[in-house]
Amino acid sequence: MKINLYHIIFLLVALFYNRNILAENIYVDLELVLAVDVSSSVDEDEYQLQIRGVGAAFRHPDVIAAIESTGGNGIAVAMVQWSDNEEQALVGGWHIIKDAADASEYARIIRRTPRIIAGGQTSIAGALSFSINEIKNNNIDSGRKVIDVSGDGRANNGIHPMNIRNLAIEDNITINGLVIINEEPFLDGYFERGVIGGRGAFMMVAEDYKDYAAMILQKLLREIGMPVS
Amino acid sequence: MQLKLSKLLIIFFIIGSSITFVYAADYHYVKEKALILKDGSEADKIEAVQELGRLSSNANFIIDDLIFSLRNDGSHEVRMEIIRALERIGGQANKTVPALIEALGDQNWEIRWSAAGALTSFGKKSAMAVPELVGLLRDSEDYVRNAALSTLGKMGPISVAAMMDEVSKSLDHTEDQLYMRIICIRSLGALGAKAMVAVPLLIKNSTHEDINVRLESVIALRKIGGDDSMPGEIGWLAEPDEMIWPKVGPKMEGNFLMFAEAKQMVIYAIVDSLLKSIDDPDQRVSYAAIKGIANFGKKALPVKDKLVDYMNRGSPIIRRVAIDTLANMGEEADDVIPDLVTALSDFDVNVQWAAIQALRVKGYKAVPELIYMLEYDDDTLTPNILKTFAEIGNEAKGAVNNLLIILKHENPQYRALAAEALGEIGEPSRQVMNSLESLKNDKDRNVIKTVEWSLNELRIIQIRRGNED
Repeated sequence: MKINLYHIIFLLVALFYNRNILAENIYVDLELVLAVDVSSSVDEDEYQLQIRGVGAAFRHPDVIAAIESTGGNGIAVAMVQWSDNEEQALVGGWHIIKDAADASEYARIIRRTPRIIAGGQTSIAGALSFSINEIKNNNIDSGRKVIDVSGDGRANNGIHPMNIRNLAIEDNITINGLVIINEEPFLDGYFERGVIGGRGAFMMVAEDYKDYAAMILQKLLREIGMPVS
Repeated sequence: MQLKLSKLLIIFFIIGSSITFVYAADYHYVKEKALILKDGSEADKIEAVQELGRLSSNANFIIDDLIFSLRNDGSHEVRMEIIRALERIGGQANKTVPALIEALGDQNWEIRWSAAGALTSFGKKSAMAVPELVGLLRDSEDYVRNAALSTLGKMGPISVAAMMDEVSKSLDHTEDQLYMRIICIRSLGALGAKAMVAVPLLIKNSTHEDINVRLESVIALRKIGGDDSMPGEIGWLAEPDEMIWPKVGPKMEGNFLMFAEAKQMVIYAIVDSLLKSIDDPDQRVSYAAIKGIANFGKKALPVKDKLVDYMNRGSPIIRRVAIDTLANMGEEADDVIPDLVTALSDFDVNVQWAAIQALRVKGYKAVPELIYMLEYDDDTLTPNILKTFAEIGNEAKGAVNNLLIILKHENPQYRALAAEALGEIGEPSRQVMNSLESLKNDKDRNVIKTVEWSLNELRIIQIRRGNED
């Protein structure tokens, strides 16, 4: 095919109207995915306790101070709802948070976030794969990438999360865990062995969803404020 | 009619052929993977086994080959994948469960760990593994012990007797023996209502001299008592051989109401025990006991005053859990609303949040007290009252006029929170809209962003209401 003047004009016009092609990635100090369990074991009250807890944490002055002191570029946050191997959703897209106003806005968005996935089995591997993919394709660059996966049960669907965890580590993505042991009292060992990993990875344990808000606050402070364990 | 019938036959033929073709394709595909298991490299074998696992019950007919490789393959990585595949395929328990039991005695701890976890999928069919799983509770590897315990915990009443036996053994003060008791108590708790028969034993252990035994016993009692399952739901009537519930008398058999009554009696015994544990000298036990009482809602009303006391003088974690418990007590505990509002000014942020959530549960009933306390312009209390209005939402509409006044406050944080509360309350009156509009050029960025959000929310409500009219 010959390239003539019309082709060149068409390309230039297309580039002009689709600046994303030319745009450079945004740089932030931390990319954070909050992967929230919405499988069948999580009822509506428990879902509300999770998202309200996350919303409250982003309003906390210490979290805002931690964000403001990360390095001046802020953090990019996204929430993923997940259940079985076929059910994951990025809710509300990625948000760049640099100050209190951004954090409050994000808290409002989170509090209003509907439950997109009504239930299903538990595929932690599916949640991790989806989250890794979202991090890789978000047009954002950062010095640190973290997936913060919370859940109240072992995987009973999809491949073993250990396999995906290892892929995440290869991509310099850290996986931290928030384990809710209201259903399975030994879940912390399972997460420690087969889910969390990467640079500075850590896990926190909540006895039930009522403890979730307190735990996610501590967890965010550690994730945002501590680059290396 | 004849023509239609022939068309129908053709359709059936096509569907039938397709099913046969797909099945045949599956069969050959699975057989192909089985061949790799015999002759492939380690990586190929792992991939093939993972594929077979993904096929789930469609790979049922290959179980013999998988079991053969589980016993004979030289790579423990391949064997681990086989165990995972067997777990996912799930069928032929008569063959798979014995093979997994055999793997529980493997020299490699990862094989033992995987096998113990995989048995979970076979439920009651894995009953014959109970002795080996109990044995694994003494395994040298922590992960194996946890997996065995987790599986026992999910197997149901079959494992209760084994675990009660371990808990009843006298302690010879070795760490191993104590550890066994603790983890068996934890497993009994994990069984919930199915371990109701163990309640007397757990109550006894809740006063044990060892702090961890006391703590785990209190947590287990809480889980057993908090499990709402009824006998019918836990398969109790259907399986009389299984030891789940103490036999009270012959009349109880088959009488659901009497079972419920018996359960109630056990629950009172649990509440009574938890009440005693609140005064435990160790904070962790006290915390677990208060949290346990939260499961019993109104049944815990006699302890209300004690909880209010803890809410005011306990450590932050005790104060928080006391608030959660009071919130769960229903309208008979509405008189604690002033105490909950006071807790909004607690110096611990998690206690504040617990109070906000407790007041959210109280809804409109909390609004007058919250409005009253707005008179105290306090850096901690006032923002939390505003956040509470936002959390309560439309039921806080009685506070709209007060919020309009706060929109003019000199503190931008107050203005932003008041604007947000108005957006959450969702009453788009002209006065509310005009007041918010006047803040669109506020000097504070957060106020501007919040006002824009609130106006947007309120406009949506206006449109919706307009459409409804």
